[in-house]
Amino acid sequence: MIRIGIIGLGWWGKQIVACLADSPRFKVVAGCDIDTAMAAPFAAARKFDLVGDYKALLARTDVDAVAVVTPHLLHEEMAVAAFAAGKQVFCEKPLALTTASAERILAACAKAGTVLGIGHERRFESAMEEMRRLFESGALGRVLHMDANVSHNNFRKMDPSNWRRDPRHAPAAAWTALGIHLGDMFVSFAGKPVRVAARTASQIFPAPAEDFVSAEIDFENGARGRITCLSTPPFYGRLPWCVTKVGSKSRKAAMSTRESHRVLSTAGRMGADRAATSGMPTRYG
Amino acid sequence: MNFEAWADAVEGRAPYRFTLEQLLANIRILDAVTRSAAAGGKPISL
Repeated sequence: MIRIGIIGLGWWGKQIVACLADSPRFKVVAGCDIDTAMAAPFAAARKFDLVGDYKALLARTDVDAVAVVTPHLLHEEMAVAAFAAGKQVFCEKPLALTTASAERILAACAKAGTVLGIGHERRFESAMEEMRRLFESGALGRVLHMDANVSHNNFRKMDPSNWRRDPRHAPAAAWTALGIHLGDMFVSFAGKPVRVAARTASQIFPAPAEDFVSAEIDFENGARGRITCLSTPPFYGRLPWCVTKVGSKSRKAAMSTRESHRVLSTAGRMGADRAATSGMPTRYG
Repeated sequence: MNFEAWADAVEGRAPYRFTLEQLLANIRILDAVTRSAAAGGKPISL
């Protein structure tokens, strides 16, 4: 049993506590949030100790591991401190906002000799697992191109003062919310990126707020990728998640939810299709 | 499932599925996306 402390008890931190509640592998023993008044009823209901300073959580000897679930700019400071305190660290994505920051976290991890977990849970979705199986079996041949569009307007409903809409924490439109998962997927399939060209735009959001990002990524092995994320299309339950891989032998598209291109343009139809197909992942191709 | 995979790695039962190289490569992309977009789409070599 791994005794874990959760640093950051906002929306996603609470989700993680709920997700671990029935796990035989973890026990949430403590949590931390600077807004202790907000977090106190949750901590009491979930029966863990609440502190207001993450350093107090790191000082506890009954905490083996921590999950860092705080605004993005805080990840480095907290992860590095947690490694220095000898904790196992699970960090929400994005790990960091710059290469230099990521390198400092990885250096602290290497020095501590503990394991860095990362919140890219979408790699484990069944359609993506099937895509990986096809890739590793050689059925796709050499990967020539990967294309992905993941878009939703969930954050549009948030108060503009929310840190998730602050470009210091969330630069390049929806990249840190959505594109970062696709970057992880592409890297897992194609390896080392060598060149990136990206554009952002304010199509509906009033500038300087951005709601569009699209990036071309070239990989060292010759594969190419394009990732596009819009912040304005309607959200309808689970995220639409479409990744197409064009290989030298065949072409496959994976969608982790029920939608097809046929219904992507109409929110009402998407709702109907979702009800009719009970949420099972579908593979096309 | 990700937490389970991490727990396996923490307890030494299996290597973690995300290598440190992959984690770094993904942040190199994010960093370059931000810089390229700020420069109007100028390509960034990594």
